[in-house]
Amino acid sequence: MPYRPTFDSEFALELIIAAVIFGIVVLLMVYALLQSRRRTEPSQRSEAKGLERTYVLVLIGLAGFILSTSLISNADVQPSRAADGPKPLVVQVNAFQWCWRFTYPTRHIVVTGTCIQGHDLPTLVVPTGRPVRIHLTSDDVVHEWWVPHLRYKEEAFPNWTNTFQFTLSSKGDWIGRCSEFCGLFHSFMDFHLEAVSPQQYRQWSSQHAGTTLT
Amino acid sequence: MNPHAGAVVPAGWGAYNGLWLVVMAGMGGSAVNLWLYTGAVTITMLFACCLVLSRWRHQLEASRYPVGLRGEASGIAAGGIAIVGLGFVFGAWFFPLGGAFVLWGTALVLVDNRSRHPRPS
Amino acid sequence: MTAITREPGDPGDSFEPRDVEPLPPGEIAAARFERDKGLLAWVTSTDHKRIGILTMATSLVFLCTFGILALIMRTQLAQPNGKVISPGAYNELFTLHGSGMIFLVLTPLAIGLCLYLVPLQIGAPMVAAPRLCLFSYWLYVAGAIVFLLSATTVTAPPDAGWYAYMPLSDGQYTPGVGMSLWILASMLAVGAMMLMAGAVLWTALRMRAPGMSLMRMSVFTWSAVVTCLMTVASFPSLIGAMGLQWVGRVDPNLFTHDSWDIAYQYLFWFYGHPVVYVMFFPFVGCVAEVLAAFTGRKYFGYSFTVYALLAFAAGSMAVFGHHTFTTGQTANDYFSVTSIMLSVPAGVEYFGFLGTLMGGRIRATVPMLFALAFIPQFLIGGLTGIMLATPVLDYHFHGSYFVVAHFHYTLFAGSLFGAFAGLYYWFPKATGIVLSEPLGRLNFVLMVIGTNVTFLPMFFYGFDGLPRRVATYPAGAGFGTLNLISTVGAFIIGLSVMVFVFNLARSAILRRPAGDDPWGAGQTLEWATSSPPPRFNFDGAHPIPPIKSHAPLLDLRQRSGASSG
Repeated sequence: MPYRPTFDSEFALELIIAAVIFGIVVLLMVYALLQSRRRTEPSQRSEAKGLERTYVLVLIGLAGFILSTSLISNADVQPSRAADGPKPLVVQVNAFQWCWRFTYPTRHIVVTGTCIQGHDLPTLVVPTGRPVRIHLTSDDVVHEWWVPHLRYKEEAFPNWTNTFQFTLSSKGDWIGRCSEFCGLFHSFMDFHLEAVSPQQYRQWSSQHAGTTLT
Repeated sequence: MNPHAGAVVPAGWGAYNGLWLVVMAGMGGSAVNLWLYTGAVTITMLFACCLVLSRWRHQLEASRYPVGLRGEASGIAAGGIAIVGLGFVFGAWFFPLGGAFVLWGTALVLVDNRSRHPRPS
Repeated sequence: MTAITREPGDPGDSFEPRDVEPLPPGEIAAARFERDKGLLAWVTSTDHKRIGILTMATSLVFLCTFGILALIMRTQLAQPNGKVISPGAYNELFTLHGSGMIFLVLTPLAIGLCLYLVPLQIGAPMVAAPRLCLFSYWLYVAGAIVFLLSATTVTAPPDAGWYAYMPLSDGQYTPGVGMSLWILASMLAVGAMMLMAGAVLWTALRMRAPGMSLMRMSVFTWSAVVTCLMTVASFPSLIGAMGLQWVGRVDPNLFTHDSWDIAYQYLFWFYGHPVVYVMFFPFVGCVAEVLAAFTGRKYFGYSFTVYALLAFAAGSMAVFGHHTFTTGQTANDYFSVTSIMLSVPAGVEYFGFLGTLMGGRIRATVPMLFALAFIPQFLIGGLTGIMLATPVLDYHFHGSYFVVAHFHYTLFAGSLFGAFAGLYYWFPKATGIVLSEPLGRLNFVLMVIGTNVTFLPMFFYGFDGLPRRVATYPAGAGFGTLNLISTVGAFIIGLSVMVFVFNLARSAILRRPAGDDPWGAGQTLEWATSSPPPRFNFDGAHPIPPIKSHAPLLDLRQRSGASSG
C-alpha cells in the first residue's frame, strides 16, 4: 500500500484512541474535583491491587493492539510489497548544500537548481500510474527528502543510498522540502514534485533526453 | 532490612535491560546498537557490584562520617579539568596549566583526608 | 565511579545516632561547619542542600537566558519571509536554545533537585561523596562558561543543532573554534551531571535512615533513583559521541564512510532519548508528591507506580532508535515495539495520579495547580509520542514542527510544569521564606495560556509540512497565522516567567518566615525538620520521625488525630 492511505488510516486510528484517552482522563479529573467538594475527609485507601492488575492487563492489551497496527502498517509500505505492477521509473536523487539534483539514468536527464532564497527550485517530473523508485543519497552532509503530500520522507546520507518507491495516481504539483538541518540555507532547500500523464512524461523525457535542466 | 537491598535495584534494573537487549538482538539491532546497550547494562551491573563491595568493606565503620571538607578543592579541580579541555581547542600549552590546578585540588583533598572529620553530634 | 566508592564510611542501614563519636577537642571541623555565612562559604560548601540549590539556581538563570533566545526566534517566525535576523543567526540561536536548555537547564535542574531532596527524604545526614557533588557543580559551571564562550565567538558560533549530526558538524562543514568549544562544553556539563547522579544514586541506595526500606522511599526519591540509573547508564554514550565528533573536527576524513555517520547518530540518541526522561522523571516525582500532599492522602497505587517507574526507565534505554526511523538503517520494528510498550508504565503512572485525586480533598494551592495542569498537558505530549513511535506516522512527522510541538509538550508543558509545582512546593522548605500565592496563581494562569497558545498550533503547521529549524517560511503556504499565534503565546510565557522572578525577588525582600511545614500537608521526612534544614538535615530539636510507610508524617498526623478524636 502506498504511504499516504496507510498514514491516513493509521493516523485516524491513533488519533481516535488518543482523543478517547484524553477525554477519559479529563473527565476523571473533573469528577475528582467535584467529589472533593463533597468530601470532609480524604479517602484512607492507598492500594487497589485487583483493579491495578486488571488495568495493567488492559494497558498491555491496548499497547499490543497499537503496536500490531504499527508493525502491519510498516510492513505495508515496504518496497518489496509494492514491487509488483509495471516496471518502476528509477530516479537518482542527490541532495547537496543547499539544493537537489534529480538524475533519470535511462534518458540521461539531469534536473537541478540553486534554491537561492527559495527561487530556482528543481522539479522532479514523474508520470502518474507508474511506480517511481528513488535512489537517494547526499553529496555532502545528511539531508532529508520530504514531500508532505506523500506523507513520506527519507534521510539522504553521504556514501549511502536509500531506496524507496511510490506511485502517484493523479496529476499535480507538490512542494518537497529538506527536513534534516543541513547548514546555512537549509530553510530554502525546497523542490517541486510534479506528476504528469504518461504521454506528457514521454514527451518531456524525449524532449530533454541527454540534457541538464537548471 | 536486608543490608543488600540497595544493590538489588541497579542489578534488577540491569537484568531487565538485558532482557530488552536479547529482544533487540533477535529483532535485527545493528552491531553498534548492541554494543552500546551492552555497555550500559555493564555499567549498571558494575554499580551494583560496587554497592555490594562497599557494604562488605565498610560494615564496621558505618557510623563514622567523614564529612568532605575543603570544598574549594572541588572548584579548583573542576576548573583544572576545564582548562585541560581548552587545551584540545587552543593548543597543548593549556595542559600543564590545567594539570597543575587538578594536582592542587587533589592535594587539598588528600591533606584533608588525613584528618577525618567525624560528624559533630 | 571509583571516586564514589572511595568515599569511605557511610552510615548504611545500621547507622544509629548513638554511634557517633564526639568531636575530639581542638578539632577544627566544628568551627568550619559554623563558618557558613558569605558567598565564598556558599560556593565551597559540601552541604548537599547548598550544592543542590546552587545547581538549580544556576540552571534557572540559564532558563531565562535561553528562553530569551526562543523569543528572538519566535519574533523572526511571526511573519513569513521574516527579516529580523539572518538565517545564519537563526541557526546559531536554535542550536544554543536547544543544547542550552538540555545540557545546562533541565538536566541540572532535575539532578540538582534530586541532590537537594533525596538525602532529606531518606533521612540521611548528608550525600555520599559531597566533594564529588561540588566538583560536579563546578564542572557544570565550567561547562556553562565554555558554552557561553562558544556562543560569543563572533566568527563561528556553533550552528549545527543540538544533536550536531555528522558530517555537518565536522571540521570541513562547520570550521571554527565555536563548534569545538561547544563540544567541550557539552562534555563538561554532561559529565558533571553523570557524576552528581552517581552520588545521589549511591546515597539513596546505601544511606537510608533506619526503617527506611526501599519500599518506603517516597515517590520522588524513587523517581530520583530511576533518573540517576538512566543518567549513569546512558550519559557515557554522549561523552563517546562528543569524542567521535572531536575526532571528526580534527580529521574530517573519518566521516567519509557511512558507518561513522550512522554510528554517531546511535551514540548520540543512546544518550539523547534517556536524557529526555532524566529531564522528566524527577518532575513526575514532584507532581506525585504535590498531589499526595494537597489531596491529604497517601499516594495511591504506590508499589505499582514504583515498578512502573523502574520499567519506564529501563524501557527508555531501548527506544533510542525511534529517532532514526527515517535513516533507512535502523531496525524500525524493534524500536516501534519498545517505544509503544512505554505507554504501559506511563499509563500506570496516570493511574496513580488520578487514583490519588479521586479519593482526595483537593486544596488548590499554587503547586497543586501546576501539578493538575501537568496531567492533561503532559498527556498530549505522551499520546503524540505514541504516534511518533509508529514508523508510518514518523515518516511524515520526523523533522517537522509536529515533533517540536510534541517535545515541548513533554518538556515544557510537562517537565517544567512539574518543576514549577516542585519549586513552589519546596521553596519555603529550602529557604525558610514563603512565596506569594496570588502572584503564584498569576504566574500559573499566564503559563497555562502561554504554553498552549505557543505549542498547540505547532502540531498543525508541522502536520501541514513545515520542517523544524527553518529560519523562515514562504508566504502563501498557510503557515503565517498559526505562527503568529505561537509567537504571541511565547511572549505570554515570557511574561509569566517575569511574574515568577518578581515573586522570588519580592519574597526575598519581605522574608516572611515559613514554619517547618508551611503547607500543613507534608508527608515525607523533609517536612519534619526545620526550614531551612540544619547542616546535617536532622538534629536534636528535629529528630527523624518513625518510618512505617512512604508517608511517615501523614501516619503521625493520622495517629495523633485518632488518639485525640
